[in-house]
Amino acid sequence: MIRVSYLCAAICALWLSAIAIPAGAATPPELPDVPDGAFAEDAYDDGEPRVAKRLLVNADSVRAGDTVEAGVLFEMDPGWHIYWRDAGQGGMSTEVIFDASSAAPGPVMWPEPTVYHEAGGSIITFGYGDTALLFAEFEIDDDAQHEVQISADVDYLVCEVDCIPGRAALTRTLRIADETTAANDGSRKFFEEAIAAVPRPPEQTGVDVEVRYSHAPIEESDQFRVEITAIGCMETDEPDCVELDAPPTEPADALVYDRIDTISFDVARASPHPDAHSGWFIEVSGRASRDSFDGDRRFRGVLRLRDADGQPLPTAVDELFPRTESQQAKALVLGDGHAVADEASPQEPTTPAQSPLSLGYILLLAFLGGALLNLMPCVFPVLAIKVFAFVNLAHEERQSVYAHSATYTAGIVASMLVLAAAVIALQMVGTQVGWGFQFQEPGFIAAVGAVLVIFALNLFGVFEVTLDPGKLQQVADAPASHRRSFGEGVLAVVLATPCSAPFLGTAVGFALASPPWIIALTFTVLGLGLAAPFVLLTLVPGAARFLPKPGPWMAHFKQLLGFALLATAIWLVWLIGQMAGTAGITRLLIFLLSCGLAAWIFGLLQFRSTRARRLGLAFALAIVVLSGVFTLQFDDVSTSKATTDDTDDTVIAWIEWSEEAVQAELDAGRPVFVDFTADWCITCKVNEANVLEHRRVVDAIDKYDVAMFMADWTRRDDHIRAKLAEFGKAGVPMYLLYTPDAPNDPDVLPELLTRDMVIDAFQEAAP
Amino acid sequence: MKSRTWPILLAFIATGVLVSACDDEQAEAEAEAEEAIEELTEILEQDENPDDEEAAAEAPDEPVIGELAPDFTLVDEQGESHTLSDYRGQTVVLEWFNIPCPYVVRHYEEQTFGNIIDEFGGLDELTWLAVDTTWDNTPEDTLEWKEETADIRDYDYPVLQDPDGEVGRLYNARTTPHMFVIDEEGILQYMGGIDDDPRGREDVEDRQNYVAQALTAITAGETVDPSEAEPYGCTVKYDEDS
Repeated sequence: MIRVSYLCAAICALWLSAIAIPAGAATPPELPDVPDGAFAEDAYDDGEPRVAKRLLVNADSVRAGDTVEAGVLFEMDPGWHIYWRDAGQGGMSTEVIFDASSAAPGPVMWPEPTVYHEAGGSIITFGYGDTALLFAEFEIDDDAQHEVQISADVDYLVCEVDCIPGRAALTRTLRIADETTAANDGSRKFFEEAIAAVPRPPEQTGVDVEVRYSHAPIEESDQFRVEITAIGCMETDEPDCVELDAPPTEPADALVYDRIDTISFDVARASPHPDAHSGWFIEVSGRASRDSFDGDRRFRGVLRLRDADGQPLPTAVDELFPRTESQQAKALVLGDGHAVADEASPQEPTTPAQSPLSLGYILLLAFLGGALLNLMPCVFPVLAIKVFAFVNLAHEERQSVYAHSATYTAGIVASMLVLAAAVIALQMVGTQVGWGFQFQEPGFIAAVGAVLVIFALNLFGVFEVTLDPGKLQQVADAPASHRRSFGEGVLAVVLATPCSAPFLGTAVGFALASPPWIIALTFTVLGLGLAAPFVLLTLVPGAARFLPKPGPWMAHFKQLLGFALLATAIWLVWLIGQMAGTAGITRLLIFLLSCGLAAWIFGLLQFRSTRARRLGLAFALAIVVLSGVFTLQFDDVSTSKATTDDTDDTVIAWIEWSEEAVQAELDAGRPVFVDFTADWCITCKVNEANVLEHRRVVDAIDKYDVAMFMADWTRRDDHIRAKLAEFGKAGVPMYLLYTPDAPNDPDVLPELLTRDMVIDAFQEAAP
Repeated sequence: MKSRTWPILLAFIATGVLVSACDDEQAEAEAEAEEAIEELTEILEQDENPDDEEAAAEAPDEPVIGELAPDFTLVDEQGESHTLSDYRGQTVVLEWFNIPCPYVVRHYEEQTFGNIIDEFGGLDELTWLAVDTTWDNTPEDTLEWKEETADIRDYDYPVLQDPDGEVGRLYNARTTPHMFVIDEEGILQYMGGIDDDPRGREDVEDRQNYVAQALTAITAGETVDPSEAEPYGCTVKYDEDS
């Protein structure tokens, strides 16, 4: 026995020495020697000082007019800590007051503090252990001579389990010299470390920080939430991407903050940002006391970000904490502020009616477009011949010329109005059938895009639009009279068709999304534009001389206009991208490509035998239809929660919310969960990704047969708004859980869901 | 004003004329009114009773200003049991306490608590309970402290023993001192720091003593403002294992 214990002792001694050597080597760096007045020890605990303080200067001598750092280095016994400029939920903040003769001290710089979880985590405090250098920049007066006296008064509390308050007044002199020389007492590395650890504003750390409130202003007795997003970058391949490490597991470790009178904060969640390639999402729940307050405050703190290497990237937060009504306060509200303006535009692309293009501008374009049609190869020669003939025939009688011009214009406008009527009729029928002629409707955008591409190819000469020549002849041979002029107007429209179809077709497409009166007006003006050159030429004798001669330029002009149509198609592709992301763009482009292919095939066979032409048409149609069926499924893309990634397979069979549907499920005896959500609501997404779609929760949904409803408030909806208001909420998220036993009295789950909370709630709700 | 009083006056006169003109109708109306009043009182009583019971049963499990203070029972250093709800009818002050905490020591030396008790009529008028949530504190420690500090304390009130931190956690007590003021109806009226001078630099008279302010407001029947302030001091030394 004795031998064994000896042996053990020997081994233990060996081990101890082995541990002791590296431990000794790892002792903190040599602390600089400082003059007498610049050193103090106190916070005596059983006669032992727990804290030593040294007043350090980051220079040996300094030139008048230069700036130099000076600060107090706190050295704590192991396990002891002092507090930050705000102590958090206990303890006492450290106070440092700098002063100097012939120098102006700047604000105290606070390196990123550590978060302490005291009392088993129920009290969160902010502070420093081991060593901490709290410093300021001193701007030495230009006329400083001989030496500068620098002093620091510190007042602090140091705690391990027990707490000991301490105070000290430190002072030292700094020699003024011709040159500023570096400190040679080992202070420099402490300053370097401290300066690197001082939080920097987001502009400098390259992280995009936004602070948003659940509502504003925050009034007495309010419960509220603060959402903080810190984005290193949204996409993987962004240049200057700041790669961030995962947020800490303890939310409290993610953020330290300065407290605000009458407000209590609790960092409730820190998770990776759901949409960003690199980003943190931090939620703070807060409560205002019922007490009186004095106006707006600032929400200040430090995001304790870490980069991909785990290195600290402390980033300062400083945002208005709104307690009074203001424009700025409004802009800081989740879902209403510009956070949404930025993000909501994808969901609500501007329709032509809402677009900044005023109606006047649209009509001007229509007029110019109409006039431009005269230059098309199929209209121009006819126009030129007609004008010459017309002028010659009618030159003796001005009155007659006016009358003919007027009837010619009327003819054009009338045929345009017929076209407008057809468009309006199509629109009405379509609306009744349920087609959406809206630019929010991906299918509609795809259709207009197809029209643009096909007609652009037509302009390029890939295929031709042909009319039966016989019919044209008949119209042209109508008897000469005013009726003939009217007929000629109609004829111009019809004649123009092969070339104007691309434009008219496009106009029809866009017009479908507008109210009927705008459609009618647009087509009228388009007609006036078409008539204008003819009228002008007949009214001004000799003007016809300035008409350019028909020639190959017209074909080039036509092709050029094809590019204009393709440019318009780009806008549609952008719209789809906003709605359905990259996947949507890809689908649309594939569809447009197949439309182009179909047009080309049709063009190839167009002037062959009737049989070949029919075959070509059928083949082309088949291509368009097939590719349409396979690619035009934007609906599931736009309703999927991920805006950029449609491969994210939804693990929950969400049912679209309506009161009736909820009632039906309850009648069937199933518990019902309703997720009131929106694409721009990050909390909602985090809850969905981290909690609701988590395997354990999904299992519970199956096990307890919960009917999962989703009420999507991405686009404002009055039914959802009313439902939210019923439960006293102004916005999302809101989670309701109905049990079949109490169908009118759902439980409102908290805004910050946890898996256990949801699973327990499902279990209770199950019959 | 006048345009509104006229129709009401007319209505009164008309009612008076009608009622005096027809005795039968008057009797009927009276009977109806009586019935209505009976019904109303019934409804009110029904409403009141469950409310009382509910309120007693449903004090929140955390301190909320304007609501019932969470109830608890603790023994003091003498072994005597104290239940908060037994003090209904008296104003109660809870003081979170820790013997060696320098902030507690300073306030005892400055007579901060004694002065408040003096001002509000002594311990006959005001119930003052200290709570010690320090995990390693024993009743003997408390008795010893009381003996040592007898000459600086004018009042001797119980120090409730909460070493496992149950009541401390119930009240989210964070620092020593951390103060709670509860009115005669058991409603929590103030929680937070003792005053606005954490570092103890101001003269005692110049400090804003939040507890004294709350007691003044309660006595005067006014709203306590501030009803909350950041507590300061040493963090409460909870038993981290429990």
